[in-house]
Amino acid sequence: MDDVLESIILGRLDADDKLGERTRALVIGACHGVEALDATLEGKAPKHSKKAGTKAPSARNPAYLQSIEVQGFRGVGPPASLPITTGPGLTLVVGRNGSGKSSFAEALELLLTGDNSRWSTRSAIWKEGWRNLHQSDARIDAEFVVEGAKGTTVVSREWKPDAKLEEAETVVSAQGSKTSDLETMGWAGAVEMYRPFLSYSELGSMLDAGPSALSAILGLEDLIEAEARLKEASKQRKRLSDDAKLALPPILERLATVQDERASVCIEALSAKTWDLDAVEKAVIGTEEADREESQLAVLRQLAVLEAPDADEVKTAADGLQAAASALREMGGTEAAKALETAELLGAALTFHQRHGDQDCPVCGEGALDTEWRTATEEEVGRLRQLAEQADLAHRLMQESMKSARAHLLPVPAVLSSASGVGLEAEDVIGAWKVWSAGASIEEPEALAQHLQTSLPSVGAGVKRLKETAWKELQRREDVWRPIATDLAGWLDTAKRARSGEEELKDLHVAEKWIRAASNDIRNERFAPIADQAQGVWDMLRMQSSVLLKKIVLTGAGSARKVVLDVSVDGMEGAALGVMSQGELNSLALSLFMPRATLPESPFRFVVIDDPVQSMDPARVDGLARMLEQAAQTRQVIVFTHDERLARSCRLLGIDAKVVEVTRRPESLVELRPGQDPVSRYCNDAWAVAKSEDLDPAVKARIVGVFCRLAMEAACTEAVTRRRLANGEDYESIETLLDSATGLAQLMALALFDDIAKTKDLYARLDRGIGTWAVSAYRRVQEAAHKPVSEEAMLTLVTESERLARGLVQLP
Amino acid sequence: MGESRDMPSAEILERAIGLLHHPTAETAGLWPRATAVLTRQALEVGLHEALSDKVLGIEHAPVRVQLLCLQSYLEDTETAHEVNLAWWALSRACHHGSYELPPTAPELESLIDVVRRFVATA
Repeated sequence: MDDVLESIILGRLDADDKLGERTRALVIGACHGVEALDATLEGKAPKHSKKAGTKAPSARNPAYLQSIEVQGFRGVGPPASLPITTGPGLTLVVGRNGSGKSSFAEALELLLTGDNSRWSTRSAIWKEGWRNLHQSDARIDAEFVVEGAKGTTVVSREWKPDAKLEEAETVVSAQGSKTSDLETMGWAGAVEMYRPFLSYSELGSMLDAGPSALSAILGLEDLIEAEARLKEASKQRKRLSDDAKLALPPILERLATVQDERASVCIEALSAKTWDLDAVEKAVIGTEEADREESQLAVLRQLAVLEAPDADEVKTAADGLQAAASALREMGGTEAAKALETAELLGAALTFHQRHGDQDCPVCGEGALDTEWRTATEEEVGRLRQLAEQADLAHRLMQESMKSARAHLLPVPAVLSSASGVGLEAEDVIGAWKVWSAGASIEEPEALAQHLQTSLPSVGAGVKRLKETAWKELQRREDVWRPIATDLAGWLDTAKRARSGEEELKDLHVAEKWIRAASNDIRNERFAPIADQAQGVWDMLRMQSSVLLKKIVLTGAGSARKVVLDVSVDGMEGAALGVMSQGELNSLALSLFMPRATLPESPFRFVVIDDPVQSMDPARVDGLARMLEQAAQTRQVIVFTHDERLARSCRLLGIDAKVVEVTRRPESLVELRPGQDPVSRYCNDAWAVAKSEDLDPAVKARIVGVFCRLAMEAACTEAVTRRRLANGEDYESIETLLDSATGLAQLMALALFDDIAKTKDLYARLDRGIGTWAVSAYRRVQEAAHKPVSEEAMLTLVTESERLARGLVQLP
Repeated sequence: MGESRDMPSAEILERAIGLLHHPTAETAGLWPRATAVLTRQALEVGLHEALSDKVLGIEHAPVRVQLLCLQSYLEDTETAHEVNLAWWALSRACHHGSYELPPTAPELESLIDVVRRFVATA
């Protein structure tokens, strides 16, 4: 980005404290290019990549035109050179349409515009017919004087005999340096930007298309591009969002056809105003969270892994029960407690015997407590204790066996009751299981063992069947879901990117708006002086026009910018350009052209205008002359014009203008000669004829008189016009008056008496007022215009008619 | 046109064509008017040639009158009309206009063509 522009932008960013950090970064990123903007969007710090200044300083060095030489191009056959006085000043190139004058303007434009597309828009006729028929060699040279460069800089373009218009190189050669091209000179871009050429056809179209070109000179292209980058970034994100939205309906449609609650979850998540992408993602990935307790899938999954009580374990439990029962039975009704108490009683007797020695049994009184008794009793106590222990063990075994057997008698699993909800038949299993679990109330061990053995198979078979069915159902659902899930996953990716893009979109919009506002402001600041100047030009050109140019504004954005002219016509506000005359429109176009072409930054100190006078009324031509005079104070103004109106205005207004007359002979021989005021021109032509050594004397004799008369007519015309203009009369009525004169006599009467009717008094007036010679001079001229003049009378005739013509011009 | 009758119209016209087609440095820029002047003279002499034995004293009548006579005496009214227009066009080149430039080479050639055809039949 342009350094000046960048510092302006940074300054504005600093001054704007309402702007978010993110937006600020985006503006800077956008100013630095697409990559920098992308980096900013990805959250990376943009790299400040500044290009080193590449503009060659010479590009700005003012250049003046010195000559245009044309050969074999358009109307010009043999080489013809148009010299232009170097430095500021006005040059009028005057010649009839077809005289070849415009060929010089076009040649210069072609030369400087190079291979630009501008030429490709020309008609095929133009492109095919650019070569002059009378000259096979084609070349154009323009000489420039460039400040800071030695000598002259010549820009040339030469075509080979069969080359097409675009098949030639434009070469720049300057004294003391290598040949280069317009690009190197820095002129290629400058020509585009400042366009120092204005042709009549462009004049007409300038108001349609041209003004947008005006904005190029404001040098805001970098900002426009930055704005475009932001817009593009937004567009990409918007597109992503649109893609996601567009892709959704078919997906929803498909989801609706699937009987899967993940589909329902997704439909619900995606029907909300803001998509619940997390919910969709869970459904797609199938995470645990998606399996809510009550969900069908959860039921199916539980059913699929449902286990019946393990047959082996149940058998072990039943066997245990049987074993415990038979152990108890073997004890034969032994009461462990009684055996134990007996053992303790005997134990107490043994302890008594130990302490008190042998004696009669204190309990029964019959037996005796002695050593024999002691041995037998000690044995009995051991046996009793063992018996008690065995009985206790058998009891505990039974208890354990019962417990573990009952442990298998679980209640009906809750999930079974949900089976019908997922479309599975489970009544059999539930019935079998209910029977199974009812065994918990059986107290009788052998009956329980029996129950275990007999009730389990139907539970196991039922569960196995149900499991298989549930598994199949799960598989079926997965088969339907998987492709949808795959698609959803793809869509989800887009949607997620769209979502993050949507967040960026807000910032992008703000940044874009900011940059647009900034470039509008800067543009208006920069455009203001140009608009002022255009208004100044218009004020000079508008003359009596009732069209008031109130304001020139640059509007629109990006490439759609255009200049809007706020004009009022006859005091009517907001009038359309449609009510303006062609002359007014052309003047307006000129008003817009001049400021651009004469911007100080332009290296071109020359402005070439081709035929601005067409369709202008005479008063406006005066305005044009004045405007050109003003521009010519600082610029080399070259105007091509097809008649003498502009030259006449300059002459009568005392505007210094160099005139070049262009005539074109047969065979495209173009002649250029310095222009003169009409009286001098005719007198000099008369002298040229009189003194000619080449001309056939008979021809001289026949034509010299007409040139003398022309000089007199021009003198009268000039005198009458000056006098009447000074009296406030307008060109048109003066012209009408002059046109009504049918001959020299009436013109003389107008010049001498300001009365067309007083032809009879001419001799007397000439005799009295100027001298007797004037009378004879007048008579001689009148006669010579109709009769061949003798060789000896010729010099006198020319001398006297020039004297008289010069005298008439001086008439007050 | 007094003495100018000494030279036949065709010869005058030849010289007009010579001026147009043989460029010399001396005639640069002035040849358009000079050619117009000679062409007009050729036309006017042609008028005399066509009318003098038909209308007595016609040479003293103004050219405008002669042109009117031509309309009535020439059977080919088309040519008479063309000659009339050519004379007016040439006359403009022989007089000073406020801002008009002299005719171009192609214009002169077509005027010469009209006069050539006229004097050939006259």
